[in-house]
Amino acid sequence: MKGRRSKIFLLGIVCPVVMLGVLYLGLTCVEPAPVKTLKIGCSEALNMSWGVDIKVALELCADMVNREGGLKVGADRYKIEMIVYDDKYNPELGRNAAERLINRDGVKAIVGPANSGPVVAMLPVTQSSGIPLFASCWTEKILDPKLKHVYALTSARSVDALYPLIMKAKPGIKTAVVAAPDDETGHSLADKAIKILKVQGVKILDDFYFPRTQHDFSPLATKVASLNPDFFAVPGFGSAAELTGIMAKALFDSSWRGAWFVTAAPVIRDLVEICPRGEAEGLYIPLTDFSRVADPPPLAAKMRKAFEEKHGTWRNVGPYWTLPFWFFVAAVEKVDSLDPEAIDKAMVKLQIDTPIGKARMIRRPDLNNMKYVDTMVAPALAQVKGGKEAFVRSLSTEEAIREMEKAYGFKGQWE
Amino acid sequence: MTGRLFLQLLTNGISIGLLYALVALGLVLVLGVAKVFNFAHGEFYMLGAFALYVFHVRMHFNYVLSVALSGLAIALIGAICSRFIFQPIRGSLLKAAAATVGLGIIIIQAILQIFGTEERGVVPIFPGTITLWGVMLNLDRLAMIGYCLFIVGVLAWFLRRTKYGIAMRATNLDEETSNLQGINTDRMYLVAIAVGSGLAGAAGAIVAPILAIGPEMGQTMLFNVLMVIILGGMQSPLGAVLGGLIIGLAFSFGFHFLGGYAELATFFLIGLIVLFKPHGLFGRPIEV
Amino acid sequence: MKYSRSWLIPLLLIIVALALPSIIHNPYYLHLFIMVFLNAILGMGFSIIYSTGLITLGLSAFWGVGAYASALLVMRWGLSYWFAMPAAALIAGMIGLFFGSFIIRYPGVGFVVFTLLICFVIEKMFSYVKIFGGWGGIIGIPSPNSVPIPFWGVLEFSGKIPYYYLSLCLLLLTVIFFCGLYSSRIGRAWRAISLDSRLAEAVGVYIYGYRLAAFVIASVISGLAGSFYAHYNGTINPATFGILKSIHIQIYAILGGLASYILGPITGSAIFTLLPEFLQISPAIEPYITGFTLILIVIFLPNGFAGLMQMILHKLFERGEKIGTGYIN
Repeated sequence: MKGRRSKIFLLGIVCPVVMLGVLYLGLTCVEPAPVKTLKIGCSEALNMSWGVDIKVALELCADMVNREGGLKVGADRYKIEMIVYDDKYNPELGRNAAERLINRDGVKAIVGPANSGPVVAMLPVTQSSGIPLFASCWTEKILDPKLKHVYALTSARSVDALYPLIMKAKPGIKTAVVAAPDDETGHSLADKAIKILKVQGVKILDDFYFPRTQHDFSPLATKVASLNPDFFAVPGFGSAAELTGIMAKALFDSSWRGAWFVTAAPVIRDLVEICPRGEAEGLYIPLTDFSRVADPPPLAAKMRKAFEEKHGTWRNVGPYWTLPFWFFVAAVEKVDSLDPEAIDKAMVKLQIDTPIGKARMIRRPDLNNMKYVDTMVAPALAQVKGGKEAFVRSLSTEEAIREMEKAYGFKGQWE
Repeated sequence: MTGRLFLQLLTNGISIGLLYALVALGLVLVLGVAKVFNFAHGEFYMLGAFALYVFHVRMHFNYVLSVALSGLAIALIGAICSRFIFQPIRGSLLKAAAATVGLGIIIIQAILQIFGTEERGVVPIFPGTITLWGVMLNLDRLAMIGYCLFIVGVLAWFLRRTKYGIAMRATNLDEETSNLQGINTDRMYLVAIAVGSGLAGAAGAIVAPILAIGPEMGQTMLFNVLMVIILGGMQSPLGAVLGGLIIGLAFSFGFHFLGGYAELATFFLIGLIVLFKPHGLFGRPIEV
Repeated sequence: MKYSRSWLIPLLLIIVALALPSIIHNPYYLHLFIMVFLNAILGMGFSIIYSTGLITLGLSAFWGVGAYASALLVMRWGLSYWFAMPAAALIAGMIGLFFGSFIIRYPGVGFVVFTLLICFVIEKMFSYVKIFGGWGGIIGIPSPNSVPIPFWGVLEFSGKIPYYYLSLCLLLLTVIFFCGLYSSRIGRAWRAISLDSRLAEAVGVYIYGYRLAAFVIASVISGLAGSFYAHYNGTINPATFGILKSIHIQIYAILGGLASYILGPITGSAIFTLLPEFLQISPAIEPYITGFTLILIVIFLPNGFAGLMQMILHKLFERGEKIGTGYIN
């Protein structure tokens, strides 16, 4: 009896105390200023170095915005949470990632996926759910006029505008050869390169493709040397410094000495490391490190500073892959809404400052798409000189659009 | 087609063809003697390249020593895998297909995590070119041809002149009878896998300075090697060497005229040859 | 698989599967289950070829053929999906017949290597030939045409649930069809070939014919699955139909256990598709788990998880009943 009473006594005291304690903790755990979180996300090829770089860059951008108080939507401030899944460049994994992001994680937009295959596989999911897709992949399949709320935020069009710049920087180019990796990006960029070069009056001697996984570029160099063009363009290639270096070595050893150009810029430091005899000298690339230019875009300097604070030594983590993020933030803040229809209206003629210069949304009359879904960035050309990236020339976005009109027509309908 | 161009294409083809031959030789040994289809053979090739990176670039050993060490290291790894993985699955093709694929996946992920995702370059050992009969030859490639020929020569000597080598060839021909003749087929099994893997590793080490190394380089190599052994015969070392050379030359000349379609064209060519010679040029029907 | 209680578990599974959409509403998880059903069909294709003693690493190519055929039939020739689906399956079967008739003469390693190469070639074909949309694949594949169901209305294919039931339907049809095949004369012939092909040949079993039959049947159902996949996914891309998928198909079959040609692939597909999601396995660890699972299962647990469950269940309900004859070569 005594034991029983003490048990009831204990229970009668302990339980209320515990309950009160839990109540107290629960009440005091409420944060003083409720911060809402906005989830956005994408998938990248995290088994490749540039994929990891993009993830780092996107997360850095989210940090930068959060540090300044978060995303402003009307009276609310949102902390941006950036989720990046791995798609290993496989479309099925890309689609799974989209399903997961939209249906399980509840993202409000897919921002930043850079791989063409996976992004195309994501399309049905985003179309049926109405979630906006801000992609940085270069395939033109996402610019189909039947699609809704899909935007291509890339420097692809500005890369097209680099060919005229090269012609101006190195006059006298009469013949060219175009080679590209045998994949979606390679094929579409090669077609564009050929078209634009022809408009510039250059004769295309040959165009061919090589397997994307090819490491042995001696056959390619032999072929180029035997054709002996003034100019050799490799669109859709260049992000991997190692491969670019091997191609540089192969071309150098084949004793061909013309101007050549890759449309994706490798990390110059890595490239020069592989080419100790200076085989990469003279290679034309799109300018990447805007933080070192005399008059850097303010966002470039900010990104560099934020990177150094977070990670240490500055490594140029593909700033042109962060365009989707900056456009998303600008569009949302312009209309103070996360509604996809409102965002669509915000994207019309939107012009913003990005880490790679001024960028603006354009239309694609040549693809029958009169919505503002593609981007034109001010093109800037660089060259490998003395083992470093040297600025050569640039165009404003207006001049770049003029070049597009020269090649494709549809005057006045791009902007 | 000038003579100069022809020589250039020939050299390109022979250098890469010998590389395929070396890796194919390894696979033929494993397949013929040990009767295990090692889908991770390409990964052993890749491990050889990374081993060279570690020995030569990180630990600054002499290049030739690094190649030898890489080959031995991969042979050791092959032997360990043999003891724990290949031995229990011996005889069953399905088990081999599954387990070696799993092994390959693990190896790739391990390398990815240890070394990161960037492809790496190794500073070339013999930078520079020499001009021979008007053809600019990369010294690196000539060295590669040299190493490959040397290793193939050593292997040929091993298989023809040494006791172990002859025993391996016997096991390749007929395991049961070899057993009856007193050859320890279990040990042959181990040796074959070790040597075969070592060959792949050495090939990876040889190619490392010339082509970039990356975790996925084994996959493409395995593909090309499959074509080589289909062409040359799955159990024939001679077929592996000749098949490798033929495919290397086919790729080299094919790329010049057909660009990226060279692979597909080579494949169809092999298909055609196989119609007439079903088990490859030097092959026999293989029972697993 | 013909014991007195053996229908209980499959029946339970079917009931659970039918009721699932009313319990789970999140479209993401429904998507996962749809993929489980599709992968199970592909895994059963692998198993049926395995039941004749051959190993194929090229089924994803026929999956792709079915997908592209169906997409093109609907988009270019305006056929209704319900005609295109069986047509695509037949086309995949014909291509299977074409390739199979060449490569089945090479049992063993040669066959495996050839199936790998077929996979490679077909993937390249999809990428190169313009009519297949090239490297970007085909986008905007329409969903299946609405089906008027008497006394109920029209079944529209929007949202996940109609696709869920359609894929479940395809799976059940395949299961029933295969059950029938395995217990028929053909199935007995296959079993004989897989046990000892030389003896079977000596007894008069036409090995080449039966193996080819299995190969074609596997191609047909892969094509069927492919057709569903194309219209469910809305886009198809050559990269999806490569060798990686073939390896995964093999994993579905092996993981579940090759003792049972039907429950095995279903179990394996469920585990391989669902487990990484539910365990929230980080992408860095996932390949290790896949790899080690392959190695360990093949060495230590040849009957796979289905076999494991069978053993456990028999231990629990020990009545002296014979455990089914499951054999692994």
